[in-house]
Amino acid sequence: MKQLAFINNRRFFHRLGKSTTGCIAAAILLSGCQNDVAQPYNQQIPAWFPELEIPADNQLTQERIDLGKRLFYEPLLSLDSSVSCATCHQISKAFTDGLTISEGVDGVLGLRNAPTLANIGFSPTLFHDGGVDNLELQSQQPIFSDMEMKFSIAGFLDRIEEDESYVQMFMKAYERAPDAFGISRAIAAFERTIISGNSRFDQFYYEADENVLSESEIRGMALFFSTENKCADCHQPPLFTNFEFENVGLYSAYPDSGRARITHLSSDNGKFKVPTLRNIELTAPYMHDGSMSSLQEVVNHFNEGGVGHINQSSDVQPLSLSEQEKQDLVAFLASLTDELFISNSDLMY
Amino acid sequence: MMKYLSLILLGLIGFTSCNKDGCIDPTALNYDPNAENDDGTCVYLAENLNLSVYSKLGQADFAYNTDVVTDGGRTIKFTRAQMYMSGFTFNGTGGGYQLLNPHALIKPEVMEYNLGYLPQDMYTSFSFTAGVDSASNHMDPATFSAASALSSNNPDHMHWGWDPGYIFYVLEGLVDTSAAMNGLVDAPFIFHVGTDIHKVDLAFVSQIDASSDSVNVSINIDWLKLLDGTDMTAEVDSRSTHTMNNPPLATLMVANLDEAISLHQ
Repeated sequence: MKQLAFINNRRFFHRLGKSTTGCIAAAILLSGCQNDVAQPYNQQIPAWFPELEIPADNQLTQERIDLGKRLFYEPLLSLDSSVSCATCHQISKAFTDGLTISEGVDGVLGLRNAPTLANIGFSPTLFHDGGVDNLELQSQQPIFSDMEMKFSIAGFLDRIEEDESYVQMFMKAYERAPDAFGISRAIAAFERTIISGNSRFDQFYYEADENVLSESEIRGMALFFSTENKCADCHQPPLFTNFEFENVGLYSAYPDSGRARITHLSSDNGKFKVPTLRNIELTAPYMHDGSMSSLQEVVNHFNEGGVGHINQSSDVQPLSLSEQEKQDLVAFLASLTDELFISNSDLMY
Repeated sequence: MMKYLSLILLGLIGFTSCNKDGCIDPTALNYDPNAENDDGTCVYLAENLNLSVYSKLGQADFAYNTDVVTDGGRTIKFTRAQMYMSGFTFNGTGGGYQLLNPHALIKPEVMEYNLGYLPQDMYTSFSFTAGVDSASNHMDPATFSAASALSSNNPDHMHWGWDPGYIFYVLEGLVDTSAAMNGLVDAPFIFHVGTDIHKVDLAFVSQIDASSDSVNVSINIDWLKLLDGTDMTAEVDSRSTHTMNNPPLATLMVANLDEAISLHQ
């Protein structure tokens, strides 16, 4: 009965109801061009998603997104031209890389597991520790990092100095020659188009298609949204995260202090940003350090209630789920996969 | 309502009819093209304020890839050393003056740094911050002009790419970590130190005559002294910090800044 009540209470929305356009900004930005007209970008966002906030100096235009996509897939941004953004953020894996810890130039290991970029534009903070609050700054970090691209923007600019196609794209997008401003803004613009909101869960829950989920998945959904299990307290729909920082009791002593590296507060030790669960089936391994290889392992961890770290979230408590319930929960998580998202040619290069 | 409108109108008339006071000399730093009455505040310039930085390893001149011994007895060699300085302020008879372009990226291989303009005056002291001022530290490095030491267009700029901001001080090299200190200098050491709490304000008493067209101030940096108190062993945490992952080692290095930077006599 509880399950039926839950389903009857769902809200119905029309898909793709929201759109944002960069018409005004585009008109202003390209008013000096004689022959080029900025292509306003009609951002398609599911109606059940929140508003996408976009900085005033980087409103979306087709030219900016095109440039950003080229840069996102550009290995010349790395020291030995071997690593691009897409190396660690592969569309087939929902913009993760399948590795425990991501590798940079020369195979040097980074610090953490690559997070998905699905719906990253909605995230008020970035990185597992929330150390950055805007995509424009974040997009520069991998270029500088010795553990990622190990290069410099100046070095990249030297490489593309003779590439007239790049110069034209920068001029059309930002009315300036290639530079750090244009690079960081363009990559951020492209990343704001990485939107995933068409999973079978979305079709079932928001579009009233009752035939897309199996019985097991529906049971799993009820378990997920149960106030006793508290999964949705942190993994709140529609983005399946509340963007807060939590310690989920992985370790009694965390080798990586997480959020405390930013705040220097001992109360933040072992806290990491609550990740989205959208496309979670595709983003193994799990946790900030990639220490869990399967969703079954993750569900087991939460069912057991964590190790009891002093900063552990009060929501992480033993759940007493049966084996069938754990299977149902994993089945529901798999219903959050968005097949159209990972085959979206607009996000490929 | 009419009364208020009248008052506003009178205020506007009064405002626009006033001759504005200010500096009316176009050659002055603070020339105001809208000013009509010279109020005596014109500030004139001394060109080419030059900072000379003498980089040292103890008493010796700085050299990369050269064996030197720390105060803890470890043999090391530097492969990279850089430091941001900011907020250069000079105190003279006319009060304090902060340079308009206050950021410099100091490297041992570069001795001379043009800091821009300083008003003509007789100065008795100057100060600066080792590190980056807090306001600039949290700005997007892509938004600085390409000529700025803080710009990400600058190939030497040092920024973490996240909220902690710029890496204020970078020391990298190799060290002999053996218990016997046998002279095999092969283990890397990395000090990447930043965050607002690790900038250090430094002040120096010095007579600086800025009445001529060219002004020079000179300081020493003993890069070796920055490692005083360290004991770099096989334990990585004893010789590697990116600040947030190993704050005690960052703090130890910062504590040496006051003595490592001195006035060049």
